[in-house]
Amino acid sequence: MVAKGESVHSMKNGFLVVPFRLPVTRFLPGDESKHHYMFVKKHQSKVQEEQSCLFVVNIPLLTGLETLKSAFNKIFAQYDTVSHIEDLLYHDEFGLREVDLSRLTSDLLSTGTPEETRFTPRNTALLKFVDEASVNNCLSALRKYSQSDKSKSIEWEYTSPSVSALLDFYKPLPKDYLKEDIAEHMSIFEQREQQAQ
Amino acid sequence: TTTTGSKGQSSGTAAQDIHIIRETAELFKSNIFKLQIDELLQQVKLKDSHILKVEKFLHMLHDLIHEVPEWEPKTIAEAESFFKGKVVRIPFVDPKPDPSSTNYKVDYKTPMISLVGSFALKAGIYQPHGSAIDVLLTMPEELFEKKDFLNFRCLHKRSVYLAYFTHHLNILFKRNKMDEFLQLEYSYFNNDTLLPILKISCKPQDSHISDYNFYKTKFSINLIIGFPYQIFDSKKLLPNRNCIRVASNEPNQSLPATPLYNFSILSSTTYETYLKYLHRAKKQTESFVQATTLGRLWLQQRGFSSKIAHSGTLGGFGTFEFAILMAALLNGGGNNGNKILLHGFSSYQLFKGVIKYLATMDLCNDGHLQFHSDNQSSSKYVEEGFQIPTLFDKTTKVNILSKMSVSSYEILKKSAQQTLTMLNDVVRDQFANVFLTNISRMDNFRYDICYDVVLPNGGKTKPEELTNSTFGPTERIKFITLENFLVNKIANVLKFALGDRIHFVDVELVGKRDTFPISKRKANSGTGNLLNFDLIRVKLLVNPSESEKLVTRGPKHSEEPTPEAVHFKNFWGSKSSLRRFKDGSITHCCVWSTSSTEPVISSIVNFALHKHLSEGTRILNDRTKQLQSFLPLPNLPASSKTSVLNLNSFYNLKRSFDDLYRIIFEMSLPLSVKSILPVGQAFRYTSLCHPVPFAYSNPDFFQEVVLEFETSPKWPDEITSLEKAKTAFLLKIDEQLQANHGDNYKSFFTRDESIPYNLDVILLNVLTPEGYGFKFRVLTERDEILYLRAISNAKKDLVPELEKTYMKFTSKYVASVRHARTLETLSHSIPFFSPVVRLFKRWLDAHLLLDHLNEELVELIALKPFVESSPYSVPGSVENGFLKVLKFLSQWNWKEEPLILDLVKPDEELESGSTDEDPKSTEKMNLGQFKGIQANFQNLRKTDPNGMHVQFFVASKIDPSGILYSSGIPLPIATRLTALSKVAVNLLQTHGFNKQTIDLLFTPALKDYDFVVHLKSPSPLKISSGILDSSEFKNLANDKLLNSFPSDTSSLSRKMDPTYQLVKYLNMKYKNSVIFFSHRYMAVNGGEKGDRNVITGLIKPFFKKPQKFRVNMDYNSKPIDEQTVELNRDAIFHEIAAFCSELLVKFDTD
Repeated sequence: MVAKGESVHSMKNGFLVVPFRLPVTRFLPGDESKHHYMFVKKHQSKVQEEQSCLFVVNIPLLTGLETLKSAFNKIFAQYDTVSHIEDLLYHDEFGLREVDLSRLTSDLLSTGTPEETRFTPRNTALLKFVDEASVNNCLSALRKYSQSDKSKSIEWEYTSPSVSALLDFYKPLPKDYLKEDIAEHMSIFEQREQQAQ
Repeated sequence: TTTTGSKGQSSGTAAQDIHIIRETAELFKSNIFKLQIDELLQQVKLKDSHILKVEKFLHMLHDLIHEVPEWEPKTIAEAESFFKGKVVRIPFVDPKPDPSSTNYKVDYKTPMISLVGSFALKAGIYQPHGSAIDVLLTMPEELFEKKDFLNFRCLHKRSVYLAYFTHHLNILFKRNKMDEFLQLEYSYFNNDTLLPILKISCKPQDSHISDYNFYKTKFSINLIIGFPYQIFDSKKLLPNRNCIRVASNEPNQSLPATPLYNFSILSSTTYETYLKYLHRAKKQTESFVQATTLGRLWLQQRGFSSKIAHSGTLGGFGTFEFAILMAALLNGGGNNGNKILLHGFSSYQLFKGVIKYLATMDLCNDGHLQFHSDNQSSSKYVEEGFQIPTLFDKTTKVNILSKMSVSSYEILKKSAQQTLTMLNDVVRDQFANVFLTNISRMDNFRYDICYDVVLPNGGKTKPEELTNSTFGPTERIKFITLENFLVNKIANVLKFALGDRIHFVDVELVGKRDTFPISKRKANSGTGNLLNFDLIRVKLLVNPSESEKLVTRGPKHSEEPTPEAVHFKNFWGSKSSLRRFKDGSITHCCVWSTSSTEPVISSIVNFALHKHLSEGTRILNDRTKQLQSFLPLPNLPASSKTSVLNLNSFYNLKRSFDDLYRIIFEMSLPLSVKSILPVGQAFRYTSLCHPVPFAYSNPDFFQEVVLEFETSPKWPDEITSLEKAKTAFLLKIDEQLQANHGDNYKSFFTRDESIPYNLDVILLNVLTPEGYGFKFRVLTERDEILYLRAISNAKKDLVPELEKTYMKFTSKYVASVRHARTLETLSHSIPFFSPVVRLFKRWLDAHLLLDHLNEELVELIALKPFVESSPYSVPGSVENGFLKVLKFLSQWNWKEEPLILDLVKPDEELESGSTDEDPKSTEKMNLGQFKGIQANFQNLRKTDPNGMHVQFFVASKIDPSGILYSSGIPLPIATRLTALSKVAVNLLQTHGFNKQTIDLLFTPALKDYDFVVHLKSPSPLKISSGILDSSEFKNLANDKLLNSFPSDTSSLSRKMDPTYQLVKYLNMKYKNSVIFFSHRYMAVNGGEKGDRNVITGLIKPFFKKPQKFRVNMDYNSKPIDEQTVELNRDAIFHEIAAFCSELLVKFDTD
């Protein structure tokens, strides 16, 4: 039984607790002891695509593959670990792809790949490694890291959108791109429709 | 002919059917009504114990009165010296008699004592603030001479009589040790200064509570001194006779009539007569007393009373007058004396009969009702009007309605008409509106505009200081008091000045004292005030269709000036001018100017009262301007001089759209265009900001349009491809637009996120040469099928999400068209809807709520006071409409009540009160439709009894589902909206409706949130959103008028609101655990330059305590122990700070 939250290393159901120190910002009261916590566990699946994966819970805001890679690499460096991350699967931070309307209205576009039917709950994703060895190396490094002194915690580097990135949402779609996209899509659609007949 | 005949017959049959259905519905309704009435009457019954208590005192009082010693005749001088050194003073009415020149004697002989009024009739009800019992002391005949009705003689005799009686009663109470708890005061009966009375009330006692202390019953006792019946020749006291002789400069001139004085004297002789008259009616009519109680409640809730209206109240018609009218109608009342009411009627039928009579018969201008209080012959409506409200008793020569003013009569009649409509309503239950809602509690809810008029020297103002009005001897005898004169003067001046701009005017004297110590002669003695009030409140009900017109038209010009022309010119003075109108006529008129913050009426009231009272008069109103300045002022030429009712900026946008519409319609496309349906807010005049050309930073700049093509079997049968196909069509439109009109029109494409999970919706955005923007979405006949198919194919747990998606589609593509069209039409007949809904949106956005609510929902809520106005009138000002929206929201128990709106033009002009042949009745919602909607609501609440999922059920004929625009609102938003409106209404009711409270009303309570993030955008948006600061100089603003779009459409994005995107993604990311709020309109609510915003957040209560660790818990958490986690606030705050990065100014956490 662990009394204080600060020293919880793993959860009862096998998830490792992976803390990252929150960066100092002049807008919020600074405190070295404040952390973001990820929960990580080895992923078990029969699906080919999902081999050599870690199941990751609670990924920080606007985190992509590269951000995650760089943070994990810092941990690997601390423990002289070699591990290669390949991909981040099913990461849908804003819940945009929770429902696939297209698949629900027609089976024409279905390609039968797991990508279309598989997903993980919100605020979770799969971190795919190049091979089984990488996964295991990563896990053992994370295990040591989670048990180490909090002062050795790695500081998380948030991705911040720039104002112009936010304003880009208002930008018109390039017409040429749009025309091409539509033409391409319509021809694929017609092909499939013909095949279906 | 045969066809026509049968057609006529069948329509006749149909009419008959409808009649039967109506009757059945009415019968059903009156049954329910009866149950409600029975319950109500039970609730207001006087407690028996209270009656016994006060009766014990009355018996004792009766005995004491007999102990008052009689007096010998005295001169006034002797009487005055009698009271020297005593506590009690003689409450002489003005003008006080001059002892040196008064010859008649005053005296005291034991009076006849009797109970009169409601208590005697056993028709009293329990009143939370207590009620008065009237005890009549009739002075013996021997004290009077035949001519005593002249020149105040009998009144002075009565004053001395009352003082002598009071003096002895006071002694007797002391002697019996009752002075410890009894309180004696003078008062004026029904506010009539000619009628001083003695009022007895009780004080609480700490110990040894006397048996006679009736404090707890909340009764008070009025001792009224009456004159014997028929002591004076009643003909001489008719309303058109003069009974106060004053010296006139011109000896041959006849003296004016003294109707108030005459009535006061005559009615002092008839208290018992009318008690007997009512008693007879009560005996003959089983439900008489109950109907009287209904009348009493109805009148009270509307602020009517028996008090004299001439000194400023909605007076002259209280329970007594209601009962007399009812009794008269039981004895006739029709043109031939036919009975209007029957003795066997139920209380509801009697009540409704009286209301209908008041609503439909004119008792002022074109006719009057006469009756006989001795029941010798039947009552009769006579088509002869006296221009004063008249209910004339041929027996006593009393006009029962003498205490009414024309204004109070007009408002009474209007109230009766509104009530009759409610009583005839077979669809809705109007019981509460008729009897339970007190509409007189706050003037600002009831009236459209109120002004406080302060005389040059306040209450100390002397008649001479009213430089522009004369209060001479003839005015004095006519009006009796300066107060009455002023009330009458102001009402008449305003009626003439405002004409058809208003429906009604009511004048109230604020700070008037009703009672005064027995040691004082009159109410304002010792106060230093000459006048018995502090200020005059003018209350107006506005006629919205005329209120803002620029010209007040007078009579036509002619060579020989007509009396009307002379009056017009004299009234307006320098303001009056001659103008030639389009029809060629030359007419006297006054020209006014409009303003964005003040109604034309304000200018007129100012001018007229200064001109006709005194230049020193101050006319105060610190709310209208303050509130209207919260409506964003558009950066358009002369906008500060544009009325709130002016919709030109919207019309300009519509014209620009019409041109584009024609261009698109004429295009030759693979499928031809079937319809182009504008659905944006500006088309229905409800957008928070006015449409301003080139103001593309405004979030509402691009107005939505739904485009439909001819039906085609070729639309793809899959949603992504369908959207792509639609885009292909839009691309074709774009191509042709650029090819043929590329010089004038710019166009581009954007992604649309309004339908959840449909990421392929593309909109065509078009910028017109006039400076407006429209965005087109395509609707096909296939869409609905596909969304429904998605629901049926989905796994069970996804169904609710997909149903939401479908609903969003329906509201955005289909219902929006009906909504836009209906509201556009309605707006034309409800002028104040547009500014009110825009102000309401401003309020919601000030409180960070607007972004969470559908525009349509907001608009429907704001429509409530306009289309379902009962028991009030349709709002006739921005302030009134806005207040009523808040009031409705504050009282709406959405858990149990649906909001069902009939989206048809409100019937204001209902003169006859009959709904039988109402041509609009077909458009109106019928009982079946209403019940159907109610059933929808009940079904909804069966599955969601506490409104956890859908709070606001808002339905109409065009959306019987009631949830189209309100599903998906987070519960905390709904409860916050209710709470904020409650706070707002409470604030106004306790601290008044003024500059300070209005500012508070629009100040967001940021302390209520778990955190507040302050943001500043690098580019200010105010100017590019087309908003003008009302404080900015006119010239400066004109320099900043926008006049073009950037040549490259992709640079439009530089002047958009980045914070909107932030909040959108934050809400998506944390949708499970945190609700974010922010201002949607940074240009309006974002400080001086429109570059500020805040993001506030509420952590959902569920996440404020530790939870078991689960994989699918979806929130940013930190471990507490091996099984439990809690919300990681610090990490979330850091994420938000990182997300807001460059925009962040300050981060407040609690």
